[in-house]
Amino acid sequence: MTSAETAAGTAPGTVAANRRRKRSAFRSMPFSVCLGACWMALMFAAAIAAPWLAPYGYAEQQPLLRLKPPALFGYETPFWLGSDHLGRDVLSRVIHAIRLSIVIAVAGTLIGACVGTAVGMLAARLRGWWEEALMMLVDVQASLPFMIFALTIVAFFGNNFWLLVIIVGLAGWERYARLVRGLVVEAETTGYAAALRAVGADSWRIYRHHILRNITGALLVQMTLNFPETIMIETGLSFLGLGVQPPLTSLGLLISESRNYIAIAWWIALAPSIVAAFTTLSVCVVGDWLRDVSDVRLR
Amino acid sequence: MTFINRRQALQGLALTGAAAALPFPRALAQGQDPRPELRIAVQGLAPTLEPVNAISNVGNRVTNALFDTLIRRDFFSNDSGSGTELVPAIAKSWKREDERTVVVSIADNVRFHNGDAVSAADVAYSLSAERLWGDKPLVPRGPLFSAAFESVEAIDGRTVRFRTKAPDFSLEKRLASWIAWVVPEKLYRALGPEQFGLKPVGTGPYKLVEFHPGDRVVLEAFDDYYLGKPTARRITFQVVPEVATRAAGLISGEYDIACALTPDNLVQLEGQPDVEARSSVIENVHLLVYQGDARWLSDKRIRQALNLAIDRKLIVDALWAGKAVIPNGFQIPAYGADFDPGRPPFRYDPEKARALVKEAGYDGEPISYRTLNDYYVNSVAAAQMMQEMWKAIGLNVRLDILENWGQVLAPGMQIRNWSNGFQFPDASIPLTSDWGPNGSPQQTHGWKASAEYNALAAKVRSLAPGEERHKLFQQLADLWEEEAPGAVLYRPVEIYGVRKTIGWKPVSFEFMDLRPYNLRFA
Repeated sequence: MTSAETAAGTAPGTVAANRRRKRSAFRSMPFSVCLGACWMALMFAAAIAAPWLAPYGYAEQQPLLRLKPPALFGYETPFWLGSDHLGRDVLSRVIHAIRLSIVIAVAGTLIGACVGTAVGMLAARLRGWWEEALMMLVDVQASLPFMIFALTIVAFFGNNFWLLVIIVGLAGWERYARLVRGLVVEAETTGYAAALRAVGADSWRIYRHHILRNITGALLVQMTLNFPETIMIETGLSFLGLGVQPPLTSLGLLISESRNYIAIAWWIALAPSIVAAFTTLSVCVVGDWLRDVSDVRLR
Repeated sequence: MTFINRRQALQGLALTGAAAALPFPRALAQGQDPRPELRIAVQGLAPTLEPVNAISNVGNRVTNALFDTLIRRDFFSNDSGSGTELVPAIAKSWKREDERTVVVSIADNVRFHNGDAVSAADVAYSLSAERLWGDKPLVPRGPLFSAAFESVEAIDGRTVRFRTKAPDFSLEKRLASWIAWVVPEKLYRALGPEQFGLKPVGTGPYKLVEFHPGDRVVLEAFDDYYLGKPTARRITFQVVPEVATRAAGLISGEYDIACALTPDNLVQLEGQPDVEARSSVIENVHLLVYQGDARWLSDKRIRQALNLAIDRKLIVDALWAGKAVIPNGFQIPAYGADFDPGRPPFRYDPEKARALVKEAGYDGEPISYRTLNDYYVNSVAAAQMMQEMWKAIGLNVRLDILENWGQVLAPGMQIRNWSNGFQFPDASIPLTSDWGPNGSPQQTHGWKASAEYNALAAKVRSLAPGEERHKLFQQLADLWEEEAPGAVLYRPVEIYGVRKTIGWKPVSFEFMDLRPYNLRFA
């Protein structure tokens, strides 16, 4: 964001300059990022307003009106995006699926961020033997293919909704842990931490009130980068039949249910696939842009 | 730089020619057998080909090509492929000596794939106490399908006598059923059921070439087959779990027959120039089993309410394009004299169901319904439809879609889905067998059947066909409905996608008959 500096006209690094730089960055947001942000806003709106937006209930069946093509494409049916193999409205199911997938992804991301941040801070605070042990855990997690890990957990404990949220939450905690440990260790060496220590603040106070606040930006970026992955994990598990269970619905489950009908009722797969692809793409694009904006080294 | 002179070039050419000629004899050998290969896409395979251990809706179609039953049920003795006439097979004749005894003469012209002639000893061993019905039989599922034998003995080299403890007038039919696939005694003893299940040797029209459990079975024509040379050179049963992939593979020409299609695939096959659907309503019912000692399910009123809430017609119209058959009571027309065409159908009465749920004091606690993901065609869709029907009468049923039968049967089960294949067309099956004192509902699913039910079942098993048996069987079916240990949903239709040039007809059973009389290539 070189334009930020020229626009600011003041010495970089000051609070005022930073604010100005960010504001200007938003103003000069690329079109693709704009589009991604709008799509995300739309998805969150759909998730919140699902019960009011959906024309039918997600489990409401009209079995004799099954596999009807979408009215949107000019067919005379009561369903905008067609109906599935049990005569359920695809549009309503997609809207509710967005809601559930997003809830799981948000909850999962928050869990991952909290666990990872806690572990990272602990490692940075305790150093020595503890740090080695915690970072070894991080390495172990990073070296495991996560899907296999998730399948093993589900195989052992059976599947239920909250377990699914926790599994999704565990995806990527190691990345937060590494990031936070690095940032905290670095922050410890800066002047403000030393100054606080000099006036008698204890470590936890410094971590909670000062360092954490300073690294929030980096954490947020990491969260946006991690978010699409959590959506994909939920989708993948549900596709394999190990995630969300019917009649609840999620994007992965919808895609999974549609695959037996793809040759005769393509519309069942269409909407959930597009939504899953666009949502992950949008979050990726916006996350990338946020990283670029906030990364000092890229300026 | 290297130069090649004329001699070297000629030598090279000659060598190339010789190399090309080397594999030729093999190609020639294959060329000499003009019979085509048949590739069949199946939804699954049994983990073993031991014929009794493999009994399942995925195992029977393969074992039926490898083995012959002692007596053969001629499905083509009527036009619809559901005939019940018994004809000679390994047994060239049989004679009923009294109400407990049948004596069978073994044909001289039947051979096992290893070339040995079938002897009375092989037949007696195949149906022996040691293998099937003793205290600790080699095949643990044997007793479930066996008659209550007192003895099975080879009287001489070509005659076997079967004797039951109580009168049993369906014994001949049983000897034409999946319990009576004949195995070679010596080899079976030497290998044991497990190894034999991997390298089976039977008398059937096709012999084993390769068996990769979970992937494919390859069979090859057994030219000494007693009903004449098989018409295909090779048969491959290839596992293709997804129904859409099976249908697509058939259309693209990768497979000649695709099994276990759904009525939705019919639309897809219509208008295809080379393939068509052939179907048959099979002697099987899709069922629910209730865990009789589980919370809520131990209350008969809840079980009855579950049954009264099922709108079978809606399920069949929606998911089976109206092609599955809803039986009137737990009976099929192939029972013959014991079938009552006037028996009232299963009741659908949501009002009554709602009242029963209320009366039972049900508090909304979720009831678990366990199923595998479409092991039975349409099972998950049907479960989701029933879930809504049960919701409408106030029952909160949770669907648990699991990975394997071990998880389905683990403690905590309340409702599961199941199917009953009719081992042979007789009123004693399945109400006195699968649902009798030795069946899993009474043994493991906590159904405390009344003494009256079990006494009636024993009587139906031992009575000769006639008015008395008809009456008692109908009472037995009434009692089953009243005690409601499960629910009958419908008789499924087995839909095959078949290349049009193949002359092959499905039968009213869950296996495929690939014998020379039912497999032709245009």
